Amino acid sequence: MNASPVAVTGLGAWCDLDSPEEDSGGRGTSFKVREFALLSDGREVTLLDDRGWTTSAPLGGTADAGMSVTHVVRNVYNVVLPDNAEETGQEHEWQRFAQRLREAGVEVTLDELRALPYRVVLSDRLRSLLGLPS
Amino acid sequence: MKTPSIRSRAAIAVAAIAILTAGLSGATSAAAGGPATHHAYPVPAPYPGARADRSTSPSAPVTISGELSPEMANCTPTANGDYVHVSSGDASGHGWWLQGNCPYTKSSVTVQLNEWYSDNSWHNKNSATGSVYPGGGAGNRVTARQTCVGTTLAGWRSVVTVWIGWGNTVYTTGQNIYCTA
Repeated sequence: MNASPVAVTGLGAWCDLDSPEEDSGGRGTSFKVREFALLSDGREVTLLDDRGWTTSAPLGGTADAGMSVTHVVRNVYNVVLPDNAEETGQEHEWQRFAQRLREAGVEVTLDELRALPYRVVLSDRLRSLLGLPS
Repeated sequence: MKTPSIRSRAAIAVAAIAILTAGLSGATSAAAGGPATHHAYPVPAPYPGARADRSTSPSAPVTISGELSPEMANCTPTANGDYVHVSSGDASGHGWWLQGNCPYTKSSVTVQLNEWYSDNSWHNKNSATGSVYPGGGAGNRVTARQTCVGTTLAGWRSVVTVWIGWGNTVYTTGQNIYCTA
């Protein structure tokens, strides 16, 4: 009896603080980002895990000087952009995603990947620091 | 009262550019204002993982030509840099800025790549400067690249400077990647 082929059900980026909280008061703040795929069998496959960014803005504070949720989410999308996004117009590393998924035993086309929902997930710690409910 | 203030600030800006340019041009200088020439002995340098330290970064209002609006002169942008990563055989780092209380206009952004050496200091590698709108994303970021000549593990970071208004500089968290240059 053949099991149903595993499918990718969604894509996303997980973001967490990557610097001590005490450093976010004026010495810059760092964040790490990991892109992932969710599979129909419940597994999660890491697609890209070497990204992140450092900003001169402290966490919290005023709209002018501090960091908002919008700021964080926008920068997540910025750091996952392919290096050649200016030439290709691609928002994600689709080829790399497909390769990683193939290595995990999941066959998926680039068009299928592009059609999937993509969400940004902030860690509980980060949500708390940004004043969001858990 | 505004004009002398702006002129004074412009003079500071020119000095800041000179300081930063001297730092960027040195092939082996430490990024936090260390000597620009190579020393056989260790020189003071930021430690891997060090974050932005604005107290030692040059304040950097620049690109002053003609009249500078008070809004532009007094604003403080946010400097952002992504973690240096390997892309198509290069070490690659992007820099962009967020508007803060600055006007929506283009600003110069400089990205300087640093590689960590066994003499416990950051060595300058390639840099890039461009003029971009705030927000980042494709077309609004500056990319610095350095060809990897080896694939052993080495520490990398970038120093991103935004020049509009009072300017801002950030040192990205050092990353160990499989690239030597």
